[in-house]
Amino acid sequence: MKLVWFETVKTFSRWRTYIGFSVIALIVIITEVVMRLSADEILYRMLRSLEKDFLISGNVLNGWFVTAFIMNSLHIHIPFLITLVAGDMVSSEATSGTVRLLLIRPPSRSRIIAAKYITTLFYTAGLVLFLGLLCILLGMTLFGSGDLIIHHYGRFGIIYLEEAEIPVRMLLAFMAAIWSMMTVASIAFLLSTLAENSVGPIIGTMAVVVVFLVIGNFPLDFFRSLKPYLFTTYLTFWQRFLDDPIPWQQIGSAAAILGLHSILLFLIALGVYSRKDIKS
Amino acid sequence: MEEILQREIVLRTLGLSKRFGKRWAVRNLNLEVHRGDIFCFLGPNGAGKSTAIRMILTLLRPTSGSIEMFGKDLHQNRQDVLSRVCGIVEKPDFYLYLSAYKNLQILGSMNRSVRSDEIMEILDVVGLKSRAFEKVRTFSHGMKQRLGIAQALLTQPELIILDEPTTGLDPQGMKEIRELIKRLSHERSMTIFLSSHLLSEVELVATRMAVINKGELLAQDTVSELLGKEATDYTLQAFPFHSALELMGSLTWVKVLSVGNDAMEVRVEPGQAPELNKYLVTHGISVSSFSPHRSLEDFFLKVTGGKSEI
Amino acid sequence: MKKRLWFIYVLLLFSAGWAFAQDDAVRYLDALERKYSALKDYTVDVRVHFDMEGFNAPDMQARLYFKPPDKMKVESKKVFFFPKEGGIFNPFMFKKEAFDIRLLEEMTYDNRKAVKLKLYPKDTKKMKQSFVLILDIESHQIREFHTSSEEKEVKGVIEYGKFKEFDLPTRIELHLDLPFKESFEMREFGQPAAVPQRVTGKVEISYSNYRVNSGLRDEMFGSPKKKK
Repeated sequence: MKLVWFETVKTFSRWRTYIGFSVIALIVIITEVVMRLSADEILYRMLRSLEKDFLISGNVLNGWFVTAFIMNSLHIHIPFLITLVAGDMVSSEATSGTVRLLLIRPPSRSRIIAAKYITTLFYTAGLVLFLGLLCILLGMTLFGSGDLIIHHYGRFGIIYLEEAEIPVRMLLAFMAAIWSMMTVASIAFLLSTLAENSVGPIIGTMAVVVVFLVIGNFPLDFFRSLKPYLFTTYLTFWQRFLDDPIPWQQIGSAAAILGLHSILLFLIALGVYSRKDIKS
Repeated sequence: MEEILQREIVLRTLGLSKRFGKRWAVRNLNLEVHRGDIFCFLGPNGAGKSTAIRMILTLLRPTSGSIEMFGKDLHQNRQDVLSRVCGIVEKPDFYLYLSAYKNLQILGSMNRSVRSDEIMEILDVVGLKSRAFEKVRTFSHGMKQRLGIAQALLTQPELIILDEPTTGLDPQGMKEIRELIKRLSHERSMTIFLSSHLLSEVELVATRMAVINKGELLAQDTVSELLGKEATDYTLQAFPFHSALELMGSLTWVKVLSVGNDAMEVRVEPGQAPELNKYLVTHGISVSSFSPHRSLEDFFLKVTGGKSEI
Repeated sequence: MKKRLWFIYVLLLFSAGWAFAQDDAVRYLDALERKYSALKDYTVDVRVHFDMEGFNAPDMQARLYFKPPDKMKVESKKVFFFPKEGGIFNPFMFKKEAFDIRLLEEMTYDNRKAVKLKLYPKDTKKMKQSFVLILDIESHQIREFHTSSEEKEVKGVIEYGKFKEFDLPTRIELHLDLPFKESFEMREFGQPAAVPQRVTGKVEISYSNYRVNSGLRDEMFGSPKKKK
């Protein structure tokens, strides 16, 4: 626990750690302010099809909708912000030479790497929660609360969630988003144990995420058949918590697949790091 | 000699070897460091000193051989053994974005619980107390080196391993580090293992030494033993000069090699240099200079086949 | 010559019959208009139950305000969806001047005399869809309606209750088949753009707590929305 605390102190003493938070704050603030100023246009675009046939009243463009909207828009970009820290977690010690001070201490390499991994997961969770809290708090301030009307995942339709059940669903969705991002963080972490600088792991992780996303979404049968085997397919499983009814089985399997990925990636990182010769 | 043999061996390597690809960086290294030694590991650049130290400090995995510390196998008792050891490998690199205090707190606490006053005391010992809360980013190389020693001291180790501790320092910085090493050895009874390619450094601080070249151990013993196997030459300046010359002519264990205008070259039997000095002084000779030739350098050049870097 | 006379005779006969039938159909709409002519406004609490594919929503409640000829307003604390077509009972929308009317069938509906009328809008720019109404001609109630255009189809069945002197709906069951073009910016990465699809299903609307002719002011309905 002491090691985790030290890693946390180190991580949060670096300005790099705050890039992610700053970028998220900037994006969320700008997006929500622009959405507030363009509320009429957004509502028109959102509802133009429905308004032909339905009379719609109530606060459709509310804080919950804005949160879901931003979350949905950012799920490609957050991994990049996560890799900034996760990809630097181990490699920065090699770059700065502090690895030579760190690994000659009594705690084993496995404990040190585990502490670093846990800190990476803390950071990941912190970043996603920060996004969530900022979206919701600012969203509620600017747009107020209300029921959530969103696109039904994966098939045609819309879904209506009552305001009372949204906080719990959102909490679960953010937990799921954290879980997904932990897999991305695990990739960056593994690459970080292999590299001696942080650029490689950051670019490497993003390359993996983007390539997998492209492969999984390429409109050819061959690529479609690969989709179930790509972890990126499951990264957005947080959205399932906004489905009605909640597809627990799908969520469970997606969470298990991503969890296994994370564990496997960490175990590889652990194995690599425990045997690694420190030559730098 | 007997006393040394009776002293506890705090570090022993047995057939320690490390191969990178086809190249042996260290081969069959057998070292013994006794409690209380200032043990100098001497060798030219690329001789394998750092590789050996990295293996001793678990940064590199040996290809073969074993390491014992305090009578225990290092890899089987890693935590226990390393809690009694500390070191600096190459240059001391710290978390530049943290203060000296925070660096010590983090690094020290990995070995044991450290109190705030202990950190400040150690910083005082290495002369960095006034900079305790400044970020290490603002420190000079010498200050980082001292901070490196501070982090080693903070863990209250029985054995400190320093890899080229004076590299990159100016003469004043080198002197400070040397004095610090000697002080630690005397005042805190710590065993110090340091590597260097600087002969002058070894001469000035070491009690025991080992010489390594091309990954292989060439010699290992006390400095006096190793040097004692060779005759030792000195340059002597004394007054009155002729009286001094006459007196030495009567000593069987001193041979005058050459005589200049105001100095003479003399060869003294191993270990007799202090005696000669004492003899001259008690006979009313004022000794203004009595300096050894760089015998260690000679020795080193001999055992390494002339590949010395000084 | 004989043949030509015969043809004119048949034509006259059919024209007369058609004119008679048209006149009859208008009569039914007239009766409907007269029946509700004293209805100046109404307020009602509605509860809507959606049973539509692709539209998962819980039951919704709102207060609905209506003032002839076509002013309407919905008040709800929560987000509320309400079908425009057929959800709001507006007996004034079937003005005889606005339609060409055909009597399709005289029939019995719930053991009562009824007629089936087809209404074609005269101004097709203003109103694109035609209507089929089943009118209970004993009580002058619209019992069923069916409207269709090129793109959508709505069928409704109405049950009535008596509120003051007016028969007003207590329940309307709508069967919808509507086009739906997804406009939410909520797609997954790489998912192909949504193609127009249809919303089909049933909407059940229950009406309660009518307040009739309470003097709703025009201002409360606000100004009409500007279309973008």
